[in-house]
Amino acid sequence: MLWSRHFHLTFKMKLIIALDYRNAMQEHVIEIRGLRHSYDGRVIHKGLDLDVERGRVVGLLGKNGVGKTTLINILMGFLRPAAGRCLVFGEPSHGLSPATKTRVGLLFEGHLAYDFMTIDQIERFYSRFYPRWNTGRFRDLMARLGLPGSHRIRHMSEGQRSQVVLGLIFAQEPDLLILDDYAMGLDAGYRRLFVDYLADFAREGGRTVFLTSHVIEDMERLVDELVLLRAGGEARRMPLAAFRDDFRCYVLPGAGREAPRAGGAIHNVERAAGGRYEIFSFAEAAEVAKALAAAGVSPEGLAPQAMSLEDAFVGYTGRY
Amino acid sequence: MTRALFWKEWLKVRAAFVALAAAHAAAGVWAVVALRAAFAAEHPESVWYQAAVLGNVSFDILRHLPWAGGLALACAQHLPETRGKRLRLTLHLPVTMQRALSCSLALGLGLCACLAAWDLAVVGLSAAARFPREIVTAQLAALAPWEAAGLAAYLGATSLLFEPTTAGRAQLLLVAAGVAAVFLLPAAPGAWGHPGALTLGLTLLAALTAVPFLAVSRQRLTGKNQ
Repeated sequence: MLWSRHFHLTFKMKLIIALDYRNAMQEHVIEIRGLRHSYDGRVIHKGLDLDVERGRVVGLLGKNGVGKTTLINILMGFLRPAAGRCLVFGEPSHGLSPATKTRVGLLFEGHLAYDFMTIDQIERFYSRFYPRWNTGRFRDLMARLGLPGSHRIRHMSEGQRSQVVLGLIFAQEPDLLILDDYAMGLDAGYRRLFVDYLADFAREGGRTVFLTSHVIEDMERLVDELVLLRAGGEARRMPLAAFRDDFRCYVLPGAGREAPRAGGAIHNVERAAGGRYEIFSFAEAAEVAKALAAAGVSPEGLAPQAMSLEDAFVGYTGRY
Repeated sequence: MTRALFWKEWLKVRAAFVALAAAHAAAGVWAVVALRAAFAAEHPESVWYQAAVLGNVSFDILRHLPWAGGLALACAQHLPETRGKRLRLTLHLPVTMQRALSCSLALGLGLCACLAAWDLAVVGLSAAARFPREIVTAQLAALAPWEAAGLAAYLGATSLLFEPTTAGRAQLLLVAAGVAAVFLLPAAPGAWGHPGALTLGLTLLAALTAVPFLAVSRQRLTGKNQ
């Protein structure tokens, strides 16, 4: 009897420890495996694999048409992948339970909100759905707006509306934020405010953020890692710092040379102003020079060129 | 959460509902005055004959008000959420899609029913003061399908607004117009009191009620979400 009681308690404790361990080990907030999707026969993603660990801020970058919106739609649960799986907190993204939805804050392109409501009404409405609702966070951002609570969202500018939406998402205290092109329609001041608030929010409490933006500059202030999508579904993931440090641009004078071609050590080649070529590569100058020589192009005059993150992004994905 | 969902729906429709309530109140007054005028202008036997045998009514103004009101109410309620992909906001609320949509439809249908109840009460009470019970019943039976047309118009417009494809909208338009027409077509006095007709009417409305749920689940995973 005593042994049985002892065993029972021990088993319960083991179970609790096992559950805690499982939760602790569930590091992948987002888990994408073998994701495939296509529209009218045009393949957008073919076997995409991607994990996002808890506490990471990940930026999704890519030119228009490479599948960013498709991936975001799948992640947000508004599109079912043709094949493969996309899990958010261990559940298929297109069939999240209400409990899991409370842990996910979504920001839609264009800062969508119930614009028929006033500031006070929208807070009252959303607060009923989220058990961890934090009024202070919402009120803090609304105080900055300087608008009365009776102000209708329909009558706000895009920037003001973005603040309301951000306040609503923060007040939900989500564990995961998915932001679809938050910068669209915002002027520099509102964008900076948005980014600063978001950066602080993301870094407290190990929140996970997955975002897209057309403003590459913001990524430097926000993200830990980049996912770079290219046409055909190729995805490359790397820490932002590694991309900044390792991806380089070299300038090669034109001077009647035949255009170098991408391949091997050379990631991409673009014709720049003044007849020069810009060569983008993850390799050192010597290796690039060797690759050029091997391709029959004289590397004479090859010189490294400093570039911004936006230059690097355009160099990586290619111009249109 | 359910209360919050109802409240959100009410915020959208309250102005339209007040306007519709005023229109129905005015129409009710018109119907009462028209009935009094008929009795003042003709012998009561003649008015009774017209009501009992010919099926004439003094509330013809209520033939088109319910379906027009149903359309207006559906637009006021659902357009704010179906334009610009705003349906995504509701689809991401931590409730099931069925629950969110049930609250939405329940409020819209409830308000249509309130307006219908007002019309039936006004017509019933004014008729009861002048006619025997059989004629009062026949008059209410004449009004009921027009009110049902209001529910059909509300459900049809709701389905149209949630439907993701143009072809689907065209088909739903035909279906909804057909159902509303069934209720609006001239019928012999007392025809809608027949159990078969009553069953047909209720079945049509029940079938239309299911369509918005199908439309939203069809479009939920298209990535378009209106």
